[in-house]
Amino acid sequence: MKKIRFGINFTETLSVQSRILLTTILTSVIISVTNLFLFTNINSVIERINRAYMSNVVINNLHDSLVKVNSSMSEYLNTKSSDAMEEYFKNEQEYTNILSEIDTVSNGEETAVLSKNIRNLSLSYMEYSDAAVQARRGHIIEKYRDFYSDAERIYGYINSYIYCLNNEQFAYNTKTHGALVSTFRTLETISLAVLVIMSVINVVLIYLFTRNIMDPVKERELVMETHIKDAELKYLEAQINPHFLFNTLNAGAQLAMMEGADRTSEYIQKMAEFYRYKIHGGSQETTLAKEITLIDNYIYILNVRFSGEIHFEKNINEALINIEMPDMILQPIVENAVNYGIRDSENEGLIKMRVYGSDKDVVVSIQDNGVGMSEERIKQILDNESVASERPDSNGVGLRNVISRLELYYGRRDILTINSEGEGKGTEVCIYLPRENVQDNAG
Amino acid sequence: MKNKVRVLSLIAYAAFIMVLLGSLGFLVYFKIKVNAAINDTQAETIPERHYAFICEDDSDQFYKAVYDAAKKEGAENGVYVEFFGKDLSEEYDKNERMEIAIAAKVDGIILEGDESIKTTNLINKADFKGIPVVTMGADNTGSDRKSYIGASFYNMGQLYGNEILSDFPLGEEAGDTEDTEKEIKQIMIFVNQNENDAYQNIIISGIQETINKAGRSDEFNIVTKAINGKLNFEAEETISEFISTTEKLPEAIVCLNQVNTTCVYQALIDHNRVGETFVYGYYLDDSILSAINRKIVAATAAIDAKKMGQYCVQALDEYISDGFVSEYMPVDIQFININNTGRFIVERAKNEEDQIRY
Repeated sequence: MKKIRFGINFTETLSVQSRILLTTILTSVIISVTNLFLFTNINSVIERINRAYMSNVVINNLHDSLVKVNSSMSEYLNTKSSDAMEEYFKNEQEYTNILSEIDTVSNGEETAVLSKNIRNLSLSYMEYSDAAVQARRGHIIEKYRDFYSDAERIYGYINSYIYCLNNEQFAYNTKTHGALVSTFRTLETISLAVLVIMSVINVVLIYLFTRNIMDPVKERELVMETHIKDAELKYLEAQINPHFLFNTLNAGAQLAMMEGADRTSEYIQKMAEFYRYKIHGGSQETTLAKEITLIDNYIYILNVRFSGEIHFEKNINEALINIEMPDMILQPIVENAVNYGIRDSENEGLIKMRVYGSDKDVVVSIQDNGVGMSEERIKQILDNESVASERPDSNGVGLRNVISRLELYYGRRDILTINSEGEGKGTEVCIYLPRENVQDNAG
Repeated sequence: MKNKVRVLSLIAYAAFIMVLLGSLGFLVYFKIKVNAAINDTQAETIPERHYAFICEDDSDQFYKAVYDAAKKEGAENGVYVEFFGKDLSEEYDKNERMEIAIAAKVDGIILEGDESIKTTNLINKADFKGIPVVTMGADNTGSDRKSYIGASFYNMGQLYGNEILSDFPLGEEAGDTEDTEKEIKQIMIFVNQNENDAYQNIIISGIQETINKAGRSDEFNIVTKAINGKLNFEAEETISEFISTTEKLPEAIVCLNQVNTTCVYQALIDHNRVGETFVYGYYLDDSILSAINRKIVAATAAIDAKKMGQYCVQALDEYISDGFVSEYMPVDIQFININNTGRFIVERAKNEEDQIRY
């Protein structure tokens, strides 16, 4: 099990390219080896089937050759021509050569004995035929007739034996052929089964090696990570060096304290807390309470900057603020409300924050009394269409970014709503944090 | 989710390894199967020595039994004994087979002998070519055969005679009065017309002399009837015709081979003449044994075929290794009648695996 886990972990550590490459090579090797294996076996059986009747071919060749020897001997005895004699010796040599193959065709004791008899009868036959030829050359008429007669008789016996051996071999070869064909059928079935099994294994292996590439959970995490990184990058770019700033601010706060400038000290303290929030350790999750504290600090800083122009009202159900949520959600919304809602408004700026519970969700409502939004604009933001009027000088994190992160985090689309009764009538952004999800995450 | 993936991985890896092992196993199984199907990868080697077994009639059960015993004995001693020419498409007679065996340069010949000159010449030709010949069943005394393996036919004749005498007791024993004129009983002996050999005559002499010695020569008249066993089905036709057409069958019929014995008892059954004659047979097989039990055949002479087969191979082996062998190796004869069939039934059952036949 450990090894298998290691195998899976090993593939998980590889890059996507390597995984695809490894998968392709492995499956190709498996299919190639399988095919090679099947191909070799099928070839070997076909070759055997082709050779099944080889022994009959050898026996028939032997018979044909014997006929040639006998007829060329008769021809010589009849005509005494040198051509016929030459032909006789040539045929005799050929017959001797084929005779040496006869031992290889036996498949049992009985056929081996038949082969042996044929070989020895052939030797006797050639002794008589040679003697007949020699006697004819020497004009010993009585002798060559006797030898010829003996040779003819043995020739008949050999033919009988060849016929018998051929029959025996044919019966045996037919049986062998049948067995081979049956083996071939089995091989076909098994080959098909092996191919199917190998294909299924290949599919499983491909799935195992490539599943991480296509895993939607992983994909969501990756996109979310990219968004966070993007947000952080923008944030860091804007703040140059939060660590440095944070330390510097702390030093400033202490200095102000020593000099008795309490308000300055408090201001710097709040700023330090604001920045500390962002360098709390890289976690992407926080609690609603911390997010609210961040908003408090942010509003305080803005009010110092803008001489208390922004009124901030909170109506919070304290029982609900410990639920977990992605960080850096509320601050960009408040920043948006300040920058695009209140700043351009004639009215005295007011931001209301409410936290209350519904059946399934914890609702965080951030409402301003600014310029408001048109239906069209709200639709653009929610549908992620390019927002042309977004100010390029804004250093805030875009509302769209917040929506994307919430959707990715909670895996649903109706996580945030924007309500505005129209131009000049303010805007309300509501975030619905699922209680179930929060509990799961907490668990 | 992860556990599911792990289980799936485990199954996939296990299946992969199993298929690999399975394929390997299949490869081995496949090779074995193909090799089993094709047993000709190596040329078969035959034993060192090769003897030809030649008898007059291939269908004779007695000589088949002798051959089986000889083959078994040979197999145990590195000899292949071939029932020569039996499986050839053309039928060759005994002398032609002898010629083929000589031309095929066998290492030895076991031959059912006869006293013909042609056989003598062939045995001498084989001997001249360095092929030792032993005769079995019947001898060829004038040849250069190395040994004769068979029963003593004179003894056999005596045993037939004794059996006949006991089946036809003296008049007193039968309860007849001395005044009754003795009826002459005919003993018909079916002899093989083609067998130019002395053994039939020796048997007949043995029967005659036994009767003479018993002082009952005036009671019996021995006649012979020639049967041509060479032509196919001739023996059966001749015997059947004789049984069906002869008004009064001879008191005793003696058959000197297995085929004649079987033909006689079958003809008696077919023509409903069982009980009209005493039949004395030759050889013992299941049907003859059954015929004895049904009292169709009175008795049969059985030569120990197993011993005969063994002795033939042993004689040739001995001659090839030592250069000499005993001229005569006797084989036991037993007579089986209704009184001792039980013993033979038990023995045959016991020795069935050894293919022992009498």
